[in-house]
Amino acid sequence: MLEVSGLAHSFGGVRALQEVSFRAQPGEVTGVIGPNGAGKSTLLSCLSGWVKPDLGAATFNGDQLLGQAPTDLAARGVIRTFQNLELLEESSVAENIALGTRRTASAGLLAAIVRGSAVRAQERRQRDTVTGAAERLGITTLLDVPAGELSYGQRKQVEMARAWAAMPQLLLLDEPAAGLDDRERRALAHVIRQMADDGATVLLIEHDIDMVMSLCSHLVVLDFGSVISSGSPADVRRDPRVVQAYLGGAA
Amino acid sequence: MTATRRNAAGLVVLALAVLVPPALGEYRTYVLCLMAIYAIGSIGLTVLVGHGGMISLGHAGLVCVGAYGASLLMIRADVSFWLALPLATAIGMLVGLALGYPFLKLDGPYLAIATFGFAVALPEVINRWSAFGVGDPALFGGALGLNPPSPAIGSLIINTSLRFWYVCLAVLVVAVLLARRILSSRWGQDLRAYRQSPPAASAYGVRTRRVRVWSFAVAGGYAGLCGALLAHHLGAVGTSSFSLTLSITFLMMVVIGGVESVAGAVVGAVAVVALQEWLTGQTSNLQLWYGVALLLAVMFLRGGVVGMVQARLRRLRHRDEAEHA
Ligand SMILES: Nc1ncnc2c1ncn2[C@@H]1O[C@H](COP(=O)(O)OP(=O)(O)OP(=O)(O)O)[C@@H](O)[C@H]1O
Ligand SMILES: [Mg+2]
Repeated sequence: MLEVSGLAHSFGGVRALQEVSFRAQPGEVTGVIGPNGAGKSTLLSCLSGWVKPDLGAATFNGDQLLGQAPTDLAARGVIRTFQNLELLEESSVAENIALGTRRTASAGLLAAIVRGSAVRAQERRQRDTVTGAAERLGITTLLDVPAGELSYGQRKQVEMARAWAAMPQLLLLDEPAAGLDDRERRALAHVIRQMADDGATVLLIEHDIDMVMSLCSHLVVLDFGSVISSGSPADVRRDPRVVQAYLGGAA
Repeated sequence: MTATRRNAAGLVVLALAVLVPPALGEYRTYVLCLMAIYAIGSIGLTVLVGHGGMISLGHAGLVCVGAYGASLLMIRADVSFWLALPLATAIGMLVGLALGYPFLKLDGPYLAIATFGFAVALPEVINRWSAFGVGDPALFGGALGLNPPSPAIGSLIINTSLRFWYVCLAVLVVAVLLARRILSSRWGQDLRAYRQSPPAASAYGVRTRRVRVWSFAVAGGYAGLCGALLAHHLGAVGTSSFSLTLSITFLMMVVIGGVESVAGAVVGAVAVVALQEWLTGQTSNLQLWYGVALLLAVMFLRGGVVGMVQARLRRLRHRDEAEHA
């Protein structure tokens, strides 16, 4: 279980997060929604070690998350995706997905040179995982193509395949559906659902309200860095503060 | 190219490399040795530049370390040439590590300048060694340099270019196979991930600082090995052999061959040495033509010679498939 309490962070004078507290359960997709600039990505960066928050605490299955480097968190199964993708543009799709298997593989130079039976077994497992992940996302025909040559939708799929290959315990997704068409969105939703069913705790930042409503069992709504509402999708949808936050500026 | 086809091509080249040199004569074989030796150095730089994305202008400095290291071991410690090769590799790796740590925070032009500084300073230290008053003032042989003894296998002394060629070839084959293994490993994948997206690499658990430092060690190891062979090849080891030009020549070999390819590093070394040799026999405008040739190569050979050949083969295969469809 992910437990966040009293998380606060400012960038210079901008209060990106204020007193953010919520919980997310394993096997469930917890949605984080809110207008642009609400602090959603900042929240995710705090939980994955990229931003050190000013105040607050965050634990996952009892382990402290804050104050750890992204690499160490990744090794423990905390995997995030980036709003701007961060693919390895010149590498093949296969090598991109293989990066996902990194956290369960040793990668010493000596091991590479000796290439003993353990290392060869690890290489086989890595290949199987890559193929499996590509099958899930329906991109097996793209495995040899450099990521830089793909369409935007395909690139997003590669990113999800990479996250899948990491077998995350805590999966932090930053707007995975942005830029996808309807068919791609449905496939993506299916994959996210499966990863949660496999036992991952999933935090989903998304502007696509339909996707959020159908996937999430619990929602957290951020506005100007504060949680203005949380609960089941149906409750949140009826909450006047949420309606105000989303429509207030325009009305 | 498929793996089998590439292996077949490699074996053909290897067979030619074994069978042809006896017919070439002393001088041409001497040049072949130089190609193989530089190829080993340029493989190391391919790891750093092509896979790690770190531009080094100091590779000649690391080669210099290997050459002096091996020579001193042979002259002062009576170490055999065969033991000096792996030891020079190890020394190169250590010096690579020693550079990799302080340079961790440096990227792009800053890293290029820092490595450049190393390559400029090192020969000066060696040249002015007697003035420092540390240890033996004649340690590095002063103006005359060092003269390492010829290697021998039992009573067979490696004193002809042909004999040395087989030594160089054997070491090169090992160096190539080792590099391919290193680069296709998880470690090589980590290094490429770091080059293309440090955030993605960290986010999936790559220890980016560690890979970066060790990529300097790999480059240093190859440079050290290259230097040890070069020491024997030159006969007399002096700092003038490790000028800044050599660092840039190594970069050119890597770029001309195709930055990411081990075969490219070898092709690049062969091409650059061949070009230098050919131009030496031509006009007095050597530098001009050298420059023009490099300019053309970089402008028109995207992905280097190896990249171009691969693209050509891909196109041919696609055309075959299209015709048979
Ligand atoms: N690295 C940073 N330096 C300074 N300010 C930042 C930084 N990152 C975010 N901010 C600011 O913090 C606030 C929250 O930004 P954040 O990116 O978390 O919002 P978001 O909810 O993810 O928005 P979006 O939906 O547009 O992605 C914004 O005002 C933003 O300008
Ligand atoms: Mg965001």
